Amino acid sequence: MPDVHIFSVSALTAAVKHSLEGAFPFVWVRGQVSNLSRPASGHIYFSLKDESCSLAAVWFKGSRKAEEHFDPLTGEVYEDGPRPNPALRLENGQEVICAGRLTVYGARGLYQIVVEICASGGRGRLHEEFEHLRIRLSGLGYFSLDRKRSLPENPRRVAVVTAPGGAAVHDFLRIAEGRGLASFIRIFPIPVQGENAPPKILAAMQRIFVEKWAEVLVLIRGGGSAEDLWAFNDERVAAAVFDAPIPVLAGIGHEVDVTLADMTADVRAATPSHAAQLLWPSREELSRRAAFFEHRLLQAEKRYMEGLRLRLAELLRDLDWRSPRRLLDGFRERLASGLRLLYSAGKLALERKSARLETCLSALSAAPQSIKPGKERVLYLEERLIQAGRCVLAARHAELDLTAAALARAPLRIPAVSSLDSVERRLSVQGRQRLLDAGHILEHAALRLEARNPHAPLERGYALVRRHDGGFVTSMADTSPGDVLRVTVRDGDIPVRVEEAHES
Amino acid sequence: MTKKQNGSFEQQMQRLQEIVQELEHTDIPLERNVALYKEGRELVRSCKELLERAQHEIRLSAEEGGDDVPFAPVRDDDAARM
Repeated sequence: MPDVHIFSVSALTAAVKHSLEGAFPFVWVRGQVSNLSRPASGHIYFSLKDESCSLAAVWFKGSRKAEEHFDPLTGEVYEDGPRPNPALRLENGQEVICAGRLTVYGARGLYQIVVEICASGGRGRLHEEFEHLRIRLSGLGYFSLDRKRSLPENPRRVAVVTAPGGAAVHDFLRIAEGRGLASFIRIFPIPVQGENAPPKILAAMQRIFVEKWAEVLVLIRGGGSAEDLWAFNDERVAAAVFDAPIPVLAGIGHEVDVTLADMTADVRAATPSHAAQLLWPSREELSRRAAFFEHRLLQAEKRYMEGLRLRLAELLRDLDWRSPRRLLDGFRERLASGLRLLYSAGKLALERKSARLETCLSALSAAPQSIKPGKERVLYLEERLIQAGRCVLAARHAELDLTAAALARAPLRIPAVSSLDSVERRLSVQGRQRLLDAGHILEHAALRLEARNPHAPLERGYALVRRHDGGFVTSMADTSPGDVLRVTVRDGDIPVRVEEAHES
Repeated sequence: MTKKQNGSFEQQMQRLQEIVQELEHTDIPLERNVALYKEGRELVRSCKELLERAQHEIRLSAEEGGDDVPFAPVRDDDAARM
């Protein structure tokens, strides 16, 4: 056996370490991150891999700054301010470029790169795959807007394809609680990641389409890495969404995540919660709508009724205007005014009559005073008439005597008997005529005298009252109690004694 | 719900809207007005009732052939903590 140098493990490891670390003091390497682990120590462990090989990597806490002020690869200073360290965003599947030393970790017998600088290495493999598929499906018209259907309004039968234990269904149902109206929601359970996920998703969707129960299909999944969401970038899933006979609503991952299933879906929601919001109107909104119509209903009814009331009031006024009662009131008023006129006219007439009566009465009471002088005058005239009558008669007699005496002497001087006879005839005619005339005058005077006879009124019930000396009693002053008076009536005198006298 | 109004919430709201528009914009006889108003009030009541009782029914679809079961979401992380 030749003299062979036998290393101990430690010595060999030390030798490998020496030559390896000496040969690659600082290297740049590009790879995809996997097996990422962030233990409590703060160091980050991961693997960098490509199609065939894998390299362990460690990024110690001490060699990372919280933020970077320049690009570690190009040295370009970030003018828009420092950027957070890429370690914070490091995730599985990400393509990165790392710089550091190769070291040998003897305790585990492995070599690794101790990362000093790490930067995003541009588009990763998954991303390239995604882009490739996206372009192809876009060519097939999967994403064209004119094939997108709108969601049914306030749907009643909703099929939800998701993991039954995930955050997605939880968020979705929590939001759904306050929206829509008594819908049926059926959860179709699927695994949302892993190799198994695409065929299971496909099967669930097919079942929904065959059942024809649901109005809308909801495909949701909570947030995760690009790898986690990968099932929803599967071409078969996208095709099923594309061929869906009912509208599909997809809400996969967070706002920033976009999958091919999202893009193919009729409506894309940013998150599962958002999907519930898009699917149903909020119950408050529905309540507001109902309240809005209720308000309009009440207003319209109120206006209508007010209109009717106004019209009714108007008609009532018209009716009242033409009512028999009003007519009667009119008549009553006319009657009252007629009565008033009649009354005042009657009163006026009465006043006139009583005024005249008054005049007559006062005239009447003044009458005895005017009668008395007239009566005295009549008596006086009667006396004078009688005297005059006697004088005239005496004068006529004397004249007649003279004429008779002249006549007795006349025949001696009459030349002719014939002429004497004629004179005699004329004389006798004249004499007779004279006598006749005188008789007439006397008769007339007697008549006039008779008319003035103070005894004539006695026939009509008047009486003459004379004192014992013959004077007429015409006044209270003409007599006093105890006097004896003579009352002359139609057929005699009645002596009376004055008992007492009253002024009238 | 009365037998007169067995439509969906949307149908009832649609009918309510028609009624409101007719009441607002047309000169209609009192009898029709009263009938429409009553119907409208009934629709409002029914819609409100629907809103009050608007609980979704959530079921977990069983594998083919099985019956659905009532479903209440339990998050995996909640379950893991138990």
